[in-house]
Amino acid sequence: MSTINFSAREINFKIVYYGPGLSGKTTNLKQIYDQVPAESKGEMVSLATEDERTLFFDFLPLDLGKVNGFKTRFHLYTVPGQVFYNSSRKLILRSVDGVVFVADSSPARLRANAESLRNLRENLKEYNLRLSDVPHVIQINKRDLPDALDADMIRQVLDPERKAQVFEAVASEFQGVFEPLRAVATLVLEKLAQKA
Amino acid sequence: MLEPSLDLYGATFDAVDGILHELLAKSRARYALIIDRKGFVLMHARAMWAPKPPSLDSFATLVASNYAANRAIANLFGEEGFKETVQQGSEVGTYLEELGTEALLVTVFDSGAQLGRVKLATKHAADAIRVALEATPEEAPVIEFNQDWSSSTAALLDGLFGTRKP
Repeated sequence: MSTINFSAREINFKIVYYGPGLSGKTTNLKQIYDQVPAESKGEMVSLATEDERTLFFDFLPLDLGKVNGFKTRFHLYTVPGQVFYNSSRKLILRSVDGVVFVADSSPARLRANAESLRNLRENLKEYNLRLSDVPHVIQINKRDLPDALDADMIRQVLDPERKAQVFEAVASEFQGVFEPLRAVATLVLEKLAQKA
Repeated sequence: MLEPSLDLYGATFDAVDGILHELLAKSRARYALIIDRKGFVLMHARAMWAPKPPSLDSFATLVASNYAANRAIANLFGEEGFKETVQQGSEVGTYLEELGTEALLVTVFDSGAQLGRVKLATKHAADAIRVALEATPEEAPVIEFNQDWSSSTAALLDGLFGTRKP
């Protein structure tokens, strides 16, 4: 749920990057951090293990700018993808406003993609939310893999009803990184405008 | 849905601001912050003599996450939460009090402050803030989310991330 801070004149939103381990969630945040101008971003925080796997979360605050005298801000989080960190994933999803689901194009990870999406649905249920309640988009990452699965096949597994916007990406090369973020931010803002 | 975590505006804001500064004076702490449990800073106060604080966004996110993790640990043992959350380094420490179900009051102190005094002043401040929040709230300021607002935010998104491709 978005938060308004009248004293600081800010409206804050929480966007979570979700997906299986090693699908590129942290890479997305690092690329966003590198590409966004200094005045629009805060410090990036990563709670990672020594071998740079996400242990708890990565965090990056972004300032969109001022509208009607209120700053609009997005707090971006990643969750740890590894299966055994589910408690952490659940905590990060608290009060989420939007989700970017980062899928892996490798054939060997198709099942992990599906499993992670199922896990997302289950964890949202803990907060009495359905995935359809939360603005979300799908990023199919690692399109440069030589054996990358057809994007349509991955979509068929993750979004057979074709309800979500889908973006192909090579996050490590900054391809398809801003587009899903922009799309989910638009959905989140539209939802706020509809409900207000 | 858009909601303030706490009704911090108008006279309530002024009252709570006064409480935070009194807390700093009594405890000799560096900073006092009210953050919501999602990790957003709601209010903060800094002692006149204190050095510039680190990024408050990062600090608030880490405190809220740490609080949530500690609560999950307590739940594993059948506890609802831990009664005290104190962290002490060789130079700097933090002390945390809950403010209802949505927010946290955090005091950051250094070795010049006594932990006992920090705890007592923070507990008193938390009580006073709860009372201030329970007073009859003023009507919240109104924000218009009209067509102008939507166009302006779309333009800002274009500015930050590039124009949306059809």
